[in-house]
Amino acid sequence: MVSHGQGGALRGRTAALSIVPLRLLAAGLVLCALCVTWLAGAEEASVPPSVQATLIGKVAGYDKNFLQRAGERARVLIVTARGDVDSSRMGRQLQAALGEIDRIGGLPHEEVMIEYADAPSLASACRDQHAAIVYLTVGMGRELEAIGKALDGVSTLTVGAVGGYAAKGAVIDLFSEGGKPKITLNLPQARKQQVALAPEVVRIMRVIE
Amino acid sequence: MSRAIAVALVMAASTSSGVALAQGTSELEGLLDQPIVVTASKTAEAQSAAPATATVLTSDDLRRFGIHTIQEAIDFLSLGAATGSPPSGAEVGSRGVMVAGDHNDHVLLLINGHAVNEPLYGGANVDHTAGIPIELIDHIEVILGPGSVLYGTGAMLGVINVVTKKAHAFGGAHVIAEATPMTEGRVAVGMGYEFSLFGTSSELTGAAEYYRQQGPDLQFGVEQGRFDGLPPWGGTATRSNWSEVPSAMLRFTSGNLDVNVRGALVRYGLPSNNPALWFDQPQNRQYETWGSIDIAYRMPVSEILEVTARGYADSAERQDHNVSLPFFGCGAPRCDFSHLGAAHWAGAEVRASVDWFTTGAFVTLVGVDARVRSVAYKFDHLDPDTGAPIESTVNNFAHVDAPLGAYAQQTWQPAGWLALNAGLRLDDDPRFPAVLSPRLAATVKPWTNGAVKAIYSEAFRAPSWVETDSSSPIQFLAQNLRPEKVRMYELAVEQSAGSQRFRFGAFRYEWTDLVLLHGLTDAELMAAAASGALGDIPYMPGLFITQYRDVLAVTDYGFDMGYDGLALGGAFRYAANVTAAIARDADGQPVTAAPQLFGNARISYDFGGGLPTLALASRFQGRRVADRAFTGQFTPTPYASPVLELRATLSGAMPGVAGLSYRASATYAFQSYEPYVVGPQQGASAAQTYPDLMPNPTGRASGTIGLQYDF
Repeated sequence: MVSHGQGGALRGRTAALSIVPLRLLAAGLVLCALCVTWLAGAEEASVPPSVQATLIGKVAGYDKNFLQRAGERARVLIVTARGDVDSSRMGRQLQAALGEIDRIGGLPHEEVMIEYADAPSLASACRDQHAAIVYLTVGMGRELEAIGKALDGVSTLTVGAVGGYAAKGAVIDLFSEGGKPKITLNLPQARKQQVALAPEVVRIMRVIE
Repeated sequence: MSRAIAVALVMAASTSSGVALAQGTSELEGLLDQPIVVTASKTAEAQSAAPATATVLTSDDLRRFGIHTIQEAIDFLSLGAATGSPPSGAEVGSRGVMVAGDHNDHVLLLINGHAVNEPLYGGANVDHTAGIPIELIDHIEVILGPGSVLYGTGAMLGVINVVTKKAHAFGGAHVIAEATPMTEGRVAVGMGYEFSLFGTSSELTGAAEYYRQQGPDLQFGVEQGRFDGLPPWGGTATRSNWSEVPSAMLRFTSGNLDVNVRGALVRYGLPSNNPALWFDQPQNRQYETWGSIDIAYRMPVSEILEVTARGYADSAERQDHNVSLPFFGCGAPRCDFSHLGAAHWAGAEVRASVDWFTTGAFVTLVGVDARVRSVAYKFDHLDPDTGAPIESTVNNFAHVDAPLGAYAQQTWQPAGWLALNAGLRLDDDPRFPAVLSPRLAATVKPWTNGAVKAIYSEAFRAPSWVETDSSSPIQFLAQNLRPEKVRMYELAVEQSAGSQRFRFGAFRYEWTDLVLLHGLTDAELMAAAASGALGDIPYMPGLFITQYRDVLAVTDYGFDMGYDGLALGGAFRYAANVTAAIARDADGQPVTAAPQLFGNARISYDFGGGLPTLALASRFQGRRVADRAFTGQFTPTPYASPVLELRATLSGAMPGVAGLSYRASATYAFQSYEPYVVGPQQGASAAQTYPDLMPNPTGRASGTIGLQYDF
């Protein structure tokens, strides 16, 4: 529907260009946004799962302890947050993406998805299943400190799906900046989890000392 | 064989310091240098997998190579796109096609995914008048080719998405000052903070900037005024090459909520606008106000379904003032011919993404974008000193309407080596018949680190309201304009080897119904005079009367090629892009203003250890046919000479002052003129067969120095 303007002169800018309905709409949108803010709680990974999988597969190869830790076959635990659909979807997407990669750190591999219960249970699972890599999906942010403590002494590489996870307790996290993927390394946590990345690789990561 | 023996054998087969180290770190560096794009399919994906040719211009490169604007970023860093600088402001062209004077309404500019182009003129600003503090930009995605499949009208040459920084990359407070001595300067403040809001990770980023420019002086040719009583036009413009742009942007995210607010007040002089008017009159000026709010909320409904709802409201107003000595239509001693235009629009977009197998391999995206928009436009004769109207407003219009767009996209990755993308969008602009914009793309990875892309896509542009509804004594009302359309075929090969990347693509475009401001021929002018359509204006040969017409069909084909890489542990970076195209209209004439051969090259070295980064960037454009070469019937055909522009930039942390960094650059352009005819002689005449062209608006040599303090 088009309503054509009448031929008379525009009397004044304010009257002719009135946007009161639009302002009301804008105000309504703001109010709606504020109302739903409290519902918001999720995190979002900025690096696509296929790129994350490739990076994980490559970074593991630079860990001096990876082969000893993994044995014949690298096992990747993909940890999802209970009741978080974002988390479980991301877990499945990463599982599929890893499935497209022949080798992780030079080894054949398998992925196991587990739902997070608590940090001690996760540490037990890592030990029992000889997890070479623990991938922490979105939605795990609040548990990272506990996970970091529980995995102290457990030889495994924890990978955070979201930027900021390394600062909270993962060994590395993946994020994008400047339109390119980046890796953060939590060096103290890496030492605690017996992850020994080669200095050449550490140089191209953001390092938390 | 026991597990222990197997482990020992595997370990022995590898180096003691890890499997990958045997091949160095270049492959990982290459992966970390692999761009991620969101714009091509509204989903984050590796550049090599995107259903379009995409270039990502990073914040690091923007700083390293002394980039100040989107325009410079495109020229110095992008593949397949280049800009020109007509009197009306910078405009973007791509792959051999640039539409002179289109205000960028053939390229869609997004800021954090929000379309900026307004519906009245259809345009968006990409130079300093864009009002985007460069330090706030995280990266710019330049998507080449038709993009209407997801974005609707205007995405013909491509889509440019400016993505601003998140708080982790812009943390704390920042104060920035940068100046080109004697001509321009800007100051900006910015901040980025992460915090918890009701237990939800939240962040606030933003920046405010004030930019001002005065000069340099511009040297125009001197021409006789077109009408009796008007003084000669031209000479040195010393007073009217100025601009002033205060602007601010703010982004708030909390969990799945994303709010973007932007505003800019743009004021600039018009040193060479309407050629019939008073030369170098500082009162010849244009004012623009831009404002927008965009609120998006992502709702993960289930493992399969995700819904994103977005509401937005925009305002764009523009007024220009063109002061003249009296001639037709104005009886006062001096007249200010003023156009006032305003566009306001608000809408909502809802899109749903269905990941059928929760693996990302088969995903359906559907969306609807509905908006209400109002446009108003008028033409006044004002007293230039008081602003009071001299005569009644004429040629005004005001409309309200509600265009609607609906789209669907299906991605399917049946195997790791094959990705398919098919999309279709239906746009219903009430002024025109509905338009379908399809896209089909296939990416095949037949060998290691290589990809072959085949793309077919179409796009359209609904003519702007000014094109369909505006008129003046020297511009006739358009009749029966149709939406412009373009279709593109592209085949591209990409190959990476460690941190080295190469791309080659061949393309063909077919443009139809391109709307141009047609200059009436003498025969048409005589017919108009005979019918009385010229009104008070006396007929004379070469009289510049215009009308928007969809007169142009263009065929455009060529190739583009790019190489980029890094070495020495990422300290040494280099890239080069080149595009060659042959674009011809139905009469076999080349497309005006657009370079048919262009590109850029750059190298940089980061000395490290507190020493600066040294960067050299260059851009090149072959000779370009002047915009009115054919409609103005100039002989011989006027060309603007090739452009070569060099920029050296030094940047780094200021020694001894924590938080303080610097950036200094020197630029030299081997070019004097842009391919835009200026002055009263817009058509060949007995007195002047060759036109005067727009001088390089930024001068030939300049230097800029800037400081940034991070708290």
